Amino acid sequence: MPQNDYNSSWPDNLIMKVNDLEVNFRQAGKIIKAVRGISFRVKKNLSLGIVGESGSGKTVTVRSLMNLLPGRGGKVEKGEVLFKLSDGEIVDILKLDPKGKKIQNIRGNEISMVFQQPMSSLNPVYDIGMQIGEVFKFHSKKKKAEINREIIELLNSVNLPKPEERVHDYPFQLSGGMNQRAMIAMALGANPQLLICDEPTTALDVTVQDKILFLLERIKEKHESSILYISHDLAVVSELVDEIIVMYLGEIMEYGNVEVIFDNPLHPYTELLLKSIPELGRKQDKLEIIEGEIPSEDEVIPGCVFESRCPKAMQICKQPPPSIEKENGHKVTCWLYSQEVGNNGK
Amino acid sequence: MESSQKEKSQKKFVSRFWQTIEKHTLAKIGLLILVLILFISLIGPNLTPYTIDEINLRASYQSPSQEHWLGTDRLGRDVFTRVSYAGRISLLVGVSGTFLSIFVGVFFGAIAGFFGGKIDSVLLKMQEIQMCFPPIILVIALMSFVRGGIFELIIFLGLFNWVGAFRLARGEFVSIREEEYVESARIIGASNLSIMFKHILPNALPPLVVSATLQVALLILAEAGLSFLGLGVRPPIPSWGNMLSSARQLEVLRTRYWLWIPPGALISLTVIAINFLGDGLRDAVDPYSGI
Amino acid sequence: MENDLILKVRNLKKYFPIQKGILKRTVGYVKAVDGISFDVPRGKTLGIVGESGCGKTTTGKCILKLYETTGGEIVYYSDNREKLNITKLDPNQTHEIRREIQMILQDPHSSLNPKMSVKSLLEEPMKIFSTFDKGERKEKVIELLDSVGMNPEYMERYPNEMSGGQKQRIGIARALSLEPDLIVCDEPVSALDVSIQAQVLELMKRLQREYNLSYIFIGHDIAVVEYMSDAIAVMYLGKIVEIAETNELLEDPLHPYTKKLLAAVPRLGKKRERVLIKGQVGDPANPPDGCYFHPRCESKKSICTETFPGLREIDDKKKHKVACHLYQ
Repeated sequence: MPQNDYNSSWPDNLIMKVNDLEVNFRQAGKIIKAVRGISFRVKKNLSLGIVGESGSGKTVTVRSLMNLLPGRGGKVEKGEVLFKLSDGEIVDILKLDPKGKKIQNIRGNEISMVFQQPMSSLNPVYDIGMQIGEVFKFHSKKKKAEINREIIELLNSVNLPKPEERVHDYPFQLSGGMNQRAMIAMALGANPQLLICDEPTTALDVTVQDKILFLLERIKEKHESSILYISHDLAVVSELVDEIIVMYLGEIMEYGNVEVIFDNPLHPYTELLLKSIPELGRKQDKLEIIEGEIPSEDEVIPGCVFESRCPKAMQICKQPPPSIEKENGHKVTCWLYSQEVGNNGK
Repeated sequence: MESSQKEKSQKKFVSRFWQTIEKHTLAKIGLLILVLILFISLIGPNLTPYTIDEINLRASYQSPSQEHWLGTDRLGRDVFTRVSYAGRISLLVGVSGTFLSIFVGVFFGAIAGFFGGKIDSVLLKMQEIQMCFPPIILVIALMSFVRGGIFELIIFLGLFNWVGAFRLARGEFVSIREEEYVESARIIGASNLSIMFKHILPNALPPLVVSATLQVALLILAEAGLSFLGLGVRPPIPSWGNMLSSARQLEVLRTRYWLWIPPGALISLTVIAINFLGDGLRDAVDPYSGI
Repeated sequence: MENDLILKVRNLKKYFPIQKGILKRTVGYVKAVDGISFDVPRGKTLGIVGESGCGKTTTGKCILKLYETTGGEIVYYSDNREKLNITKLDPNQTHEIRREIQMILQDPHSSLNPKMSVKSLLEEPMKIFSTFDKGERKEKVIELLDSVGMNPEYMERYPNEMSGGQKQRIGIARALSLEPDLIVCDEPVSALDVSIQAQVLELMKRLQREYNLSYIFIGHDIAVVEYMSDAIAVMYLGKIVEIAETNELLEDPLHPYTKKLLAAVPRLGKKRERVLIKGQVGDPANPPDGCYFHPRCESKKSICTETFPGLREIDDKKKHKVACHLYQ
């Protein structure tokens, strides 16, 4: 297997390492810092959730993992996205030619993606059998009959009723939930190592969402894919993933095991967010309010991006906060947990 | 305090407009040329000691000189004075004709688009009938029948060119009618009239502005053609078109260039300039331009 | 107090004709709202939940007379206890009732005219009804902005200069400008960021207390609807399948659909069973015979395929109503 510098220090249980990713956009002459320097790891067979509101940078992060940005006006200023291919080679996806063969081999094959609006991500003029078949056409050398069998098998595995008939249906003939399943089937077609889901259930009814989440859980168990799940809905993410990243305005506020974080949120943003969401059956009297507005993306913020709305903000927060690691890999980017503050107070 | 805030918002819109134009070199050139032509049309005739119909048979067919910057025509009239005055006429016809066509087109288009149903069907049929008769043919026929002057020309050109604006306006009204802010206006009790002209129309303007600008160019060309044929502006009032008609004689075409090059060039320049400006305007109102 | 209702809806129906062919013949109907009844007590909030196609938004629009109803009646009790049947109002009366019944729309980004300043937007209702003269109007605008927590400088701003949360506040202020008593809220926070939702929800609650407003809160996010409502109606395919006071509904859901719906809501950090409701939502143009939910119901009996169960009260004291044969 091809070796390079990266192999020597690559832990066995990792499939992807993202280091110091910074992404900017240019809009009407202004520079927008969509992602301001983030690092995280995707582990084998584990699912990672990225949670954030608008402007958090979660979608941009995920698009850059597949080097899809150049087509959309974004530019990676800094950072690397290291991915271990199934043959053992470790590549920096950001350094690959975005239109080249190598990355085409990765997309759809090693890393797949499911989007939010299934209706618009599926081509309306081809039936879903053909669209799923494309995955096989590009990434495997199987014969047509075998491919057709596999497609039906796949549609079955995503719980699409009567798959033999569905194969010839067009996207407009299927409901939102069914289309989403077809998309998931397409994404799983080549048995990718990593399945990225970008808000796949946001546009769906809650009972339909339930079924899709069930499907993803099963995929987690059965296949050997890791799942990267992006959403603004904390409850959905909390049920599905093992680890979670909380993003705000392009930075990671908190990162770690999902149960630990929701039981004991360290970052003021996470804490406030959890308290400000109405929860079924919790009988809340009043919701916690996070004062102020999310700053605009082109604002230059020298220190902590949450400082303008943080009830616990201190003078020192006008300087970039450090990333502190607590036990069990629980990381928080906040001055409150820094030794310096502990010793010197404000 | 409060009025300055309002000024700030208005300024913001105007400054955004200039920002776009500035970036668009072609539009800048177009605008510059148009301003120059307008300037010449307005001031030009006053720069010379002659009037547009001062006949001086002894000075007939003189080539450009110090006394007559662009020479004289068959009747000894100063070409410069006439050709710059003609600018006023052509621009007048172009702009007022456009205003009329926009007015009629938007009026019917708004009603058709807003109310839909039977009213829309009827108006669409009317539009189809109009489209069977190219406006220029109708104008030619009517002008020869009526033997009218500038006023009639403007009326006919304006009235028969309503289809473009009608389609644009109708399309905009049909789509904007479904917007949530229109529903919101209904909920607070706004009348249909108020919704159409206070809510929808301001939002429907951008493509209409672009279309109107280009329509001016078309009408200037139409006037030039009609006057050339003797059916538009009639002498002694000069228009670029009727000044060009002198070039029908081969003699003039070959040797007396000062009679037909100035009006011809001015027509071309004006039309090109308007098109450049229209391009810039189109980019300014295009939602994808990033502004 | 109990009988002080502001709205009484009885057997409301709204069918949309399906037209085909050149002659536009009516070949069928989409039964968006198919005979629903509920009460809204003055000063309280009734929540309406349901998934796509259940008819909750159409219901809201019928109450505002944005649609002509196909059947049933909507009775509004104004301040002086005058009774008005909204379904039978003439255009003049419809115009007048806008002063008393208003709406907050879902998408703040498209519900404000981009070419109008905040001042024009807030003044417009007042101008239409000539409620104040010019000087008073300006003061009222400042007052409105203050009541939604925004300072006067916003008057000259345009929608594209404001965030989603700010725009939604303006939408709320606009709905308040005529001093209505009943406000229909159609998914007012669904399009807002999570950290802003709480601000707007708390604002709406405060305004309700201050002005004794009655709300009909329509939403698909059950947790949000639960938080805002005193009572909740669950809709499915144009019908109300269950209606009860909020706590009662959550503690003791009776209708099989309600149970599945509540169980399908993701909980923060709590493990729950996947619900996996059978099948898909039916077609409102062609609903099943009998109970509309029976094809997907695990507890169905033979009667369920034949007759539709009416909405009946199961407990007089708790005011809990269900439309299900299991309880009749």
